[in-house]
Amino acid sequence: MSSTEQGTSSAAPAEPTTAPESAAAPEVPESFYYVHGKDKVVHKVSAGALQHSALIHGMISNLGYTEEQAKANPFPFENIDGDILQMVVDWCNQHKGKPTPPEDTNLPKQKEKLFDLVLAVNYLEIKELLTYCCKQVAMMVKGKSPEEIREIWMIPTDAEDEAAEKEAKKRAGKEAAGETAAAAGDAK
Amino acid sequence: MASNIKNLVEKTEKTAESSNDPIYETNWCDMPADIKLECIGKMELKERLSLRCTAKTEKSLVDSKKMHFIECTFGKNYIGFSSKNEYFFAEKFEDQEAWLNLMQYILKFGVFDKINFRRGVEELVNICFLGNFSQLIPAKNIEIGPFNMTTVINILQKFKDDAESISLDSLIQTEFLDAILQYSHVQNASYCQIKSLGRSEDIQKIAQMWIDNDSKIGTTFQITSDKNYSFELIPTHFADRIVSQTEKRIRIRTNNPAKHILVELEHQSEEVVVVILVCRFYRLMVISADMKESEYDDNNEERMRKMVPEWFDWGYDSDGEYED
Repeated sequence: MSSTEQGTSSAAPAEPTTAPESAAAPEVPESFYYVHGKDKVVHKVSAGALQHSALIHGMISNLGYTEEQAKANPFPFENIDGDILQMVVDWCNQHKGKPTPPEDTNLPKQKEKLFDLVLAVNYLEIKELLTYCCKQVAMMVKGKSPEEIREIWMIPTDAEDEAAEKEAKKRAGKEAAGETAAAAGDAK
Repeated sequence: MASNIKNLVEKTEKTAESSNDPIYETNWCDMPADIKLECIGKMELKERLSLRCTAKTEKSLVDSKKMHFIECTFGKNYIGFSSKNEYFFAEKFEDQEAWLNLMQYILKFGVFDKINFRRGVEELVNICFLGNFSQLIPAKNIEIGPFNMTTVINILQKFKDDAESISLDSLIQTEFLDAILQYSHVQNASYCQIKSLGRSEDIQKIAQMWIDNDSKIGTTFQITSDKNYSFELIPTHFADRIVSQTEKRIRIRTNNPAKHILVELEHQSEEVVVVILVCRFYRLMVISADMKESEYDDNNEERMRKMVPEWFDWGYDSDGEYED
């Protein structure tokens, strides 16, 4: 296990956090797996909760890990921020074995955080949560004018896009010219 | 040089200080196109229209995502629709071009459960369809008219020919049925209705079309006409196909031994006798050859009322709205 293994809510605990269990205790002992994000904080998640993620479900379905093996081999998701992964894990636990409701009001309202969550959820292939997130993204611009949407989502205007493209072309041209000059210098 | 080093140290310190706090810099432009499309799919019309005005790339993205309408009506001076997320009603605004753009957007990018073109929009619809429609419009149920036959055909041709039902008003144009039956839209629809058919003796052509196409059991055509003589002409056209004949029903054979065609002159109760005096209802249906006479559906009043509610219910305006 990584030496940076921590609890989720604070830096102090050395043991991985245990996901809150659903009210009905399973008859057969449930297997658990471990995941960590960019911050290396390890989350212990039940296989039942992980079923929401098609990606992880596909990874674990044929592993047959023992508890020790699972603990020793947490799935690394280095492209996902720790607190975003925490959100995803919490959601999976909350909705473990339950039908997903038509609305989810617990999603972050901050746009950047929401977009990060969307990318993480998309990567982890959690279809229902992705649906909620996309709805939330759509709600961000409800009733907004084009100018307001451009401002909220920082969408560059066509003129800005064209200027950026020109700049990129110019830079690429300069770099190519530099490389040609360097190659000519080497040849001499 | 010293100041540069100082700046660098400050920057590094700042980065180190904030390294525990994630920095969220992701925005709409960082989303992959498929995710953007998923989000656009959750947007209502106004937001879609606003987003497509922000930049060219967003416009093409928005335009690549079809919008589902449960019902959409183009009426005189209004557009109304309902979708999964919203109910929309817009009265015609003065800016004619903007109005046409809205109509065109809805027609170009909509997928319709039901679409209605009501009285008073004929001219606008014709102008609207002059625009570039590269794809046929998908709609399950189409209601057109009462319009000039050319307009009806012009509209029909803009739609995919897999609609489940088509409702038309012929405005007593004599060549209407002949012209309409040429179109696969009408041939393929499982339910068709034409109000105010000009020549009711033409209804035998529907039966002939079904015989020629071996149409599916259940395919139905309903007609209203103020003429009364065609029912008597059916046995003449299909003399060698008659299975049974009563005053109100004629059953004929098709080329497929499993299928018959039932032609009915809808009979009236006392309550609707006034209506029947000015209008005749006909129903044609492809039925199973095994269907017994006891299985015939006698609940004709309901279907007549559904087809022409304005003739049954006082205060009903033919645009589909009840007047106060």
